[in-house]
Amino acid sequence: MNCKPMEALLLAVVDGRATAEERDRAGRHVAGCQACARRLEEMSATWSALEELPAVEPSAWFDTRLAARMRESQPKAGWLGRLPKGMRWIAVAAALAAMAIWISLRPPAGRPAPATSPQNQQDFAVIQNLPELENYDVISNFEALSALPGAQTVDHSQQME
Amino acid sequence: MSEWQLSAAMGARYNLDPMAISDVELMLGVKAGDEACFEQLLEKYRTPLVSFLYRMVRDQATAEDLAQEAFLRVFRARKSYAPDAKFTTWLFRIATNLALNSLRDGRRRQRELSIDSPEQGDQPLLDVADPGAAIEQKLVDRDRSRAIWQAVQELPEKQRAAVMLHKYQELGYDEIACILGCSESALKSLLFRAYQTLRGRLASLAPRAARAGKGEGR
Repeated sequence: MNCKPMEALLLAVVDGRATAEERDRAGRHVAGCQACARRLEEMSATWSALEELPAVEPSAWFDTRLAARMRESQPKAGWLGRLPKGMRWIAVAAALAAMAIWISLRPPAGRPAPATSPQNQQDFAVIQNLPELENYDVISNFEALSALPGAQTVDHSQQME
Repeated sequence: MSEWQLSAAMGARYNLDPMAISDVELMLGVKAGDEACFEQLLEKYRTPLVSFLYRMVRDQATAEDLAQEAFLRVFRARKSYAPDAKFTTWLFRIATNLALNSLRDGRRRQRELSIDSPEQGDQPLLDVADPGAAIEQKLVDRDRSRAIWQAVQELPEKQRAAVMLHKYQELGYDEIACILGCSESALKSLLFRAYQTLRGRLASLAPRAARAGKGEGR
């Protein structure tokens, strides 16, 4: 007799999930099969013995530890996230207002730099023209010219021109 | 829509067992950000989960760590939750994988009780009117308990998980098969072999007429 297909049926009889029809079928089989009758008896005894394994209740600090682990696992919120919801809009509005004020106080792009004085401009032109600069040095330090009668102080600006 | 109508609609939509719908509703509530729903799931499943894991790893501290990890994973995955399976299948699949990994990797803490150490459930021996008989009975009970623990611990891990889910959590064959990643017929064969093995190891134990059948359930 092939008893392999009876395994699932015997299991269902032992755990109480067999239908009435399945119980009848199993009963008919074990009535004529000593090996399966013994299996059924052994499985029932094992099933009963397993009742003796103790169950446990979670300890008193189970929930506390779980709550702590859940808090740790939460992503850290930025300063905006830590604010109450109502305050977040106020903070965002204040930041936008500050940015608007800063933009309005900035000098507009493309405005020319402040003008320098005319004297500075003239000196700068002299410095840039090297031949004129050399002539200027020679004339201003030529002592013979100062010994001439009626010599006047050289007007550097006119001489340069 | 009433709660019952909502449950019925969801059951029809997802083809779920009506008994599991409340869990699905709670989990959808968690997904929507309702932490009270998560607390209800926690209240409902923390004891079965810790008991299951305790029977798997035989150490309460480890079992509680693993149960917390399972709940954490459920919470972290709440945004992607889709009610395409029973909540218990999902939860116990996570817990089973955690337990099997813990056992296989040897990462379990070294707090596991040795087979010869006193069981946590042992009662004081001298607390009854007839000390002699009581002590003898207690010793017999203790030996039985140790023998059963040892027989269970010596099962291959997958068989042990299958027996724990079948015997104590009373999950359906389809659910256990889904949790363990095998077919239903393969699961039944696995369970049959596991009970046969257990019977072989527990054959020396005399049947306990007085307490046999008085199950602790979950």
